[in-house]
Amino acid sequence: MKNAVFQQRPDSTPSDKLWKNLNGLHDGFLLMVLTAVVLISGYCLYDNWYILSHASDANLLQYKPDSSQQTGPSPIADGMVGWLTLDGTNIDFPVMQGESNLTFLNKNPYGEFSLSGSIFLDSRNTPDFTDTYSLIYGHHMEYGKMFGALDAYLDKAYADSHRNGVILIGRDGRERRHITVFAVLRVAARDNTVFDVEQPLPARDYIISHAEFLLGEPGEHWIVLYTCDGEDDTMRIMVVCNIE
Amino acid sequence: MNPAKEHDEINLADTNATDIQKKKIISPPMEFLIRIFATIFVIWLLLSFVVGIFVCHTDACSPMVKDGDLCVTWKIGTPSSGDLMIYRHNGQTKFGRVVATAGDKVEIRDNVVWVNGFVAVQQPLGHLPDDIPAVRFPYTVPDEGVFVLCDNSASMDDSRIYGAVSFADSRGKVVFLVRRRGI
Repeated sequence: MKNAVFQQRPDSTPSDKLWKNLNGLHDGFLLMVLTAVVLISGYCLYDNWYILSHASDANLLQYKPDSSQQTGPSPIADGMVGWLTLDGTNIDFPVMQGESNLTFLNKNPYGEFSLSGSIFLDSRNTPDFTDTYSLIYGHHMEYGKMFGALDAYLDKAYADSHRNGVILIGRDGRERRHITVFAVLRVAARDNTVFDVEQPLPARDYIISHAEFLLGEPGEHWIVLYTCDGEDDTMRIMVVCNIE
Repeated sequence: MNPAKEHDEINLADTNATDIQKKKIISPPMEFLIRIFATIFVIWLLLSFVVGIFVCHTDACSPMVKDGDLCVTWKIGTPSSGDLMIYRHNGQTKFGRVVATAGDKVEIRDNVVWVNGFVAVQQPLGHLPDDIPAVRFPYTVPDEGVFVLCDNSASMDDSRIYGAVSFADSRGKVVFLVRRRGI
């Protein structure tokens, strides 16, 4: 026997037909609303996917200065000043430098518009990383993309096992320097102390006093990796490395 | 089994089935009423607790949200720093960017807003007129409230004038907007 809760009665009167049509209209209305919701959700999913898939380009690696896969002249934009790698992490990017700190905020290493931008050196720093304090920025992104990979450094055990890296200096990677992580900090987003690259000593004291933990002694030259933004708008992550 | 008896049993079963059918049927007008009420109830639930739909008619948050923009807000969760929030104040719907949350200390120095000792907003904001009763600074944001500022530096219609906006007055943070003017 069929489930008869909403079953049509055997004899349909014109009045019944009217109600049937009204119910049909209601069904149609619900269908339209649900379709609109699905389309909007689909757009949101597409947008998220687009941002993440454009966050870092696997093709960039073939233009890494010491790469054996070089295929002709590099299409990376003129502002490239080096290449940063942290062993065992996603961080393996060209380092750009622009006329200002806005130049590569939303430009990828090819110079094209990109929400996730590039990893870039502070425009006030000398491009050969000889300053006491070289500040490198990158967007914090989901799933460890760009400098989202720095999140993991808040865990001391992880930081301790991922201390080593390399900075290749110059567009041609002419110089190769070893880097070692020695401090990890969380800083308030609006705190400007750490941005003063021309006054390294207050920044040094700040780093030592505010570090989540110290893995070693601060040396004479540092590279500081700093996330530009993140889910939590109030705190940013800094990973400080000694350059040999 | 005796075919006649079988036939009687089947007839009896049919009659019972029809009786049951007649008792269980809801008439189409009743069905329509139930559908309408159920739909209204679900829409009311969604619009009260989950999402909000508003059209902006203020330039307080221009250029992020402009006059005529259709905004969809998300009401679940509490507003946090950086959110563009829609809220009610004095019977009006207003738009503002959250710059400080419960416990934060807000100051205004030289028309620039500082939160917990750091600059919150880069551009200087409009000068607070002397004759409008403003909030006393330094101002500590109360619990269950947020301090909002207009994105548009020319607009003063925000927490500098009337203090923190309570969670109860919040209508959610804007997550989606549709614009058709001035494209």
